[in-house]
Amino acid sequence: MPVKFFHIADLHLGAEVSYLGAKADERRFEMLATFKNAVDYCARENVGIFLISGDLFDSNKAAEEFAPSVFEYMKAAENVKFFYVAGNHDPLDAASPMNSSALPENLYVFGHEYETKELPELGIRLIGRSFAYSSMEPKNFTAVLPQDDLVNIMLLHADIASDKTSPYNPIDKDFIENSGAHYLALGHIHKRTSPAKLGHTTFAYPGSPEGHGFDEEGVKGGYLVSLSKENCELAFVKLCRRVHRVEKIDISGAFSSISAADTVLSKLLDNYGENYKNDLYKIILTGTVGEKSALKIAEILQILKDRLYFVKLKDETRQAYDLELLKNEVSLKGIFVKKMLERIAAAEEKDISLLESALYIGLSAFDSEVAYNED
Amino acid sequence: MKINSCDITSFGKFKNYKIDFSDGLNVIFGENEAGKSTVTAFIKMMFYGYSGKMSDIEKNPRKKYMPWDASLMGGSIDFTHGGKNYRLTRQFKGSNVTDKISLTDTDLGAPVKLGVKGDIGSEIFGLSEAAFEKTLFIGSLGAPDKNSTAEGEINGKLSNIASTGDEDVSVELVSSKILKAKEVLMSRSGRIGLYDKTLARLEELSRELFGARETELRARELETQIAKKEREASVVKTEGDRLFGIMKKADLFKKRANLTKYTEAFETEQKLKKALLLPDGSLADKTYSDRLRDSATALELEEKALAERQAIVDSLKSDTDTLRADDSTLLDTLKKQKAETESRLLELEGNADKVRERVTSLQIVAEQKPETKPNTGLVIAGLILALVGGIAAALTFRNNMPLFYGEIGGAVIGLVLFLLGFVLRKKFADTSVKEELVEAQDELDTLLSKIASLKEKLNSTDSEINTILIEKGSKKALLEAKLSELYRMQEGLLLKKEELLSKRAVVSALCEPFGHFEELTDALEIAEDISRKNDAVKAAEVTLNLAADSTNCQSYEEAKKRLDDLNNDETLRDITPEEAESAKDKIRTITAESGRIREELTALRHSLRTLIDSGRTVPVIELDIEENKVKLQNQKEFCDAADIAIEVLSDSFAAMRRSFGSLLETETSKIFSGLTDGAYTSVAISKDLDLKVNKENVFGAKEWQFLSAGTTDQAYLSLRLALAKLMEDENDTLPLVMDDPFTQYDDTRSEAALKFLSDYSATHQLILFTCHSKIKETAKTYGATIKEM
Repeated sequence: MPVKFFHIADLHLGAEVSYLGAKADERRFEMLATFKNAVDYCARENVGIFLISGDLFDSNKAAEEFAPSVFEYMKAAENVKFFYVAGNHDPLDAASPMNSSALPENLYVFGHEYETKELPELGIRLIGRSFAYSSMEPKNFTAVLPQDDLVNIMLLHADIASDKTSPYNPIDKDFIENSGAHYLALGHIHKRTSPAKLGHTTFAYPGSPEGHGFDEEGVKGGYLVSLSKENCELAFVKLCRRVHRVEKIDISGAFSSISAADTVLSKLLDNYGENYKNDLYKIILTGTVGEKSALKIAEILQILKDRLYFVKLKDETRQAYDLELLKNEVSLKGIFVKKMLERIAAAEEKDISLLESALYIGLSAFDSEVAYNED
Repeated sequence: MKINSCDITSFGKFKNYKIDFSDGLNVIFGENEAGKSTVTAFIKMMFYGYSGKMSDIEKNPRKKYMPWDASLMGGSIDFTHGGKNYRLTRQFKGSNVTDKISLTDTDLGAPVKLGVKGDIGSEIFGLSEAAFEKTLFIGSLGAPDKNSTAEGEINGKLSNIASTGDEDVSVELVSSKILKAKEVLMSRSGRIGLYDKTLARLEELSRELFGARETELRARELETQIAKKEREASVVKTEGDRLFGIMKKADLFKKRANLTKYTEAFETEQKLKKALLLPDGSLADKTYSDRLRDSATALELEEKALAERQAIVDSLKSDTDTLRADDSTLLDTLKKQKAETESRLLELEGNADKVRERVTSLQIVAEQKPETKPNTGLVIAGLILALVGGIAAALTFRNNMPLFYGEIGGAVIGLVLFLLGFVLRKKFADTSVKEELVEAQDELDTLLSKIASLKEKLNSTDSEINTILIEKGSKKALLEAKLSELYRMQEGLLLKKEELLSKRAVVSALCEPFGHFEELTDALEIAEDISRKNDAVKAAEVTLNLAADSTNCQSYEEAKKRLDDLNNDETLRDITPEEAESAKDKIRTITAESGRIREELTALRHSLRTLIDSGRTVPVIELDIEENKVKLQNQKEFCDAADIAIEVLSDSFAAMRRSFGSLLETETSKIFSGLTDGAYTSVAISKDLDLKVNKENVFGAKEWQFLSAGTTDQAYLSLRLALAKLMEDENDTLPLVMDDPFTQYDDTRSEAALKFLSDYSATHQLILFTCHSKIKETAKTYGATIKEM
């Protein structure tokens, strides 16, 4: 009979998310609600084990505000046992909320050294090690885990790195393969990874249950793991209340800010359905616009802000140039284009983007104004 | 390329307006507001549309030329290009993409497939909209006064044409726009640009990170110190707990001691009381003991007195017994002695007779063989006596003179006997007879001696008996008196004895519960013992009360049980009460130590908390740094791109100067000479982009500023024509659309220019809009096709 447990990491409760401006505070509490959502899920689905692989809090200082609620949720889910290893953001130091005397009885916090916790009634053995500081040297789990009737589950906040230069508990394949664990519940990397297997150890990063920026886009959540000695199955469970999405949208042909905004919204509606308005977007406007375009980024942004929960814009539109025509033009502009195209043609791949930027900066200077557009 | 006709369905003020153009020079005459510029805009709009979104009506031709009756804007142009005739039809809508456009090869009557961009001109002519515009459309400088501003503009246009091929574009302007954009990021001061700020922010973050790491290290140190202190605190607490435990044991010891004292006191009291318990259940108290003691003491005194009286009675009795015994016993003894003596005397006298007879018989025998010899017995006896007496005398000579003398006397007697032995010789018949005779003689002597002695004794006895018999009479009277007294005393004594027996019984009864009463001392000892025990009971009661107060027990049983529990407490067996007591002193020390450690821990934790609260953590700062690095990288890339753009712009400008400049100079000179009817021979463009002209028969070039407005306009027209010439395809010239280019010209110049254009129209279609009838009239003379609007 496989054991079922839930695995999350890197929620970073209390993170400032200042890029969200006025929405930042609301968003911080949404993340707390996401944690509650995860706890409620386990309570509802009778999942008795809840693993947290570090960085539950963005910092121990931030934890002061959120830990009481977290503990309250844990206490309320009395049929769920929580197992926690501290990460580099919320190390198990003197300021850690995990030193509190008010820890829920159903929460077990692993210490600075590898600790083993056996739950024979559930048929599992848990092993974990917490960060003591914001960095942690790797330490091999030298004790041989018993290969008995119990299923071994290891919790680590760690960086899978072969060179071991990472300051964040770097582990390598050998470590994983020789860990003796049947499942290695990892934390630290915010992007969810598919489960992988080395030896008889299945391992995965569930990623952060809520994105903390547009480098953490997509639907986020945790893994529901069904584990036996012979088999390990992971099912992704969506937890996030909002999704960070980065969208490149071609607004070529838009003749006004309104039409450009409409183009953007239509695309979002097509892609994400009616609830698209609730998500967080970084929209990269692409395509070509006329030389004397009436599109105004600020105006488009304002329209989108009125329609979307959060949006930021990056303007990568370019004026509609027929470079082949331009390069033959008997003018400084023509020669400039020709020379730039020659350079681009001769350039290495890595330099092409820079040269293209130079080309369009020059063309903008010829035709209108040059402006650095910073999101 | 040639424009054959414009058929304006609806555009600006025109509705269903058609104008045809012929080869060569077309002069379109119209008054102001006749719509010359509208036709020009129509031509451009038909080929390139308008891709902009400008809200300004003046700048947005889709708005500017919106038909006045709000009908659909559009029309068609017939043109010839590459030897083929086309009709371009366009219905203007929102944008180039949405405009409805069709191109028909009119020779074939077939549509030509077009791209979707809507700028048909680019597809057909291979010219950008800008190039098309600056090639086909030529106006005038239109600056009659050389005020400074206008002069600058004209200078710029001329220079721009000469240097960039575009009167509206200067390399400085383009460069400055790029630099200005770059400076928004990298300011000259290095402080206010976005990049500068990001860089500064990164430096700030770097410092913050350094600080945070320092803080973290410090925090680690503090945590180490805290951990150490906590260990110390733990050790102290453990020791404290241990000592408190011991101290509690001290209390337990004390309790146990108190309980022991209490129980022992209780048991002692009970034991003592039990020892004092009387048969009636009461206790022998002090009164009891006093009574016993007094009774015993009194009895002792009385018994002593009784004993004295008994002694007297006994003495009297003894005396009477003696008196009675003396009378009978002595007399009986004497009588018995007399009888015995008389009996013995008879026996001895019988024996003496027998011995005398044997001596007589022996003497007869001896006389027959007489022989004398010394009396050996006397000799030896005398010798021994003399020696013993002499030796004894010698030994006692100094110490005991009376003995000495006696002993000397003995010695002397011995000597006499010795000598007497020799004197008293025996005669024997023979040795055996003689010896037997001697023996018999001796025996006879002895017997005779004894007989004599017995006779004396018999006499003495008789004497004594007589004496006794005399004394007996007197003693009898004395005896009777004493017996009388004895009887009297004995009666009193008996009464007293009975009384004392009664008293003794009382004492005995008092003693009986506590011991055997034999002697009066026993009673006193018992009384003393009872008294002592009573004292002990009192002492035990005091002790018990005190112990009871300290134990706070309600009963002996409770105390006993608690004591048993404590005695069975294993933990009390590890330590001694002394250790427990000493723990109290140690606790004071350890409490002070614990307080000191707690204070230090509090201070350390406060420091740690202050440190932790003092700023952001390393990972958070690192994230911030990463974000700013990305930002900086983007900004840097923009600046690098701007630098590249400027560099390439500079290269392009140099190339422009090298290739285009001289061509333009040559072509412009040719046209300028033609336009001025040979008055000016050439045009030169200086390195600093100043336009200079050389006049016929005048030495040296002259800057354009020294020229008249008309000449300047001629120079401008020359440049524009030369530029168009350079840009066009040699095999397919472009039409030139000129909007009143001669406004600054005088009649002579206008005529010369028209003449030149008439010649120029041999290779180019020229469409010249003018509002000047003079121009129209002059043009006629040069074979121009005249159209009236």
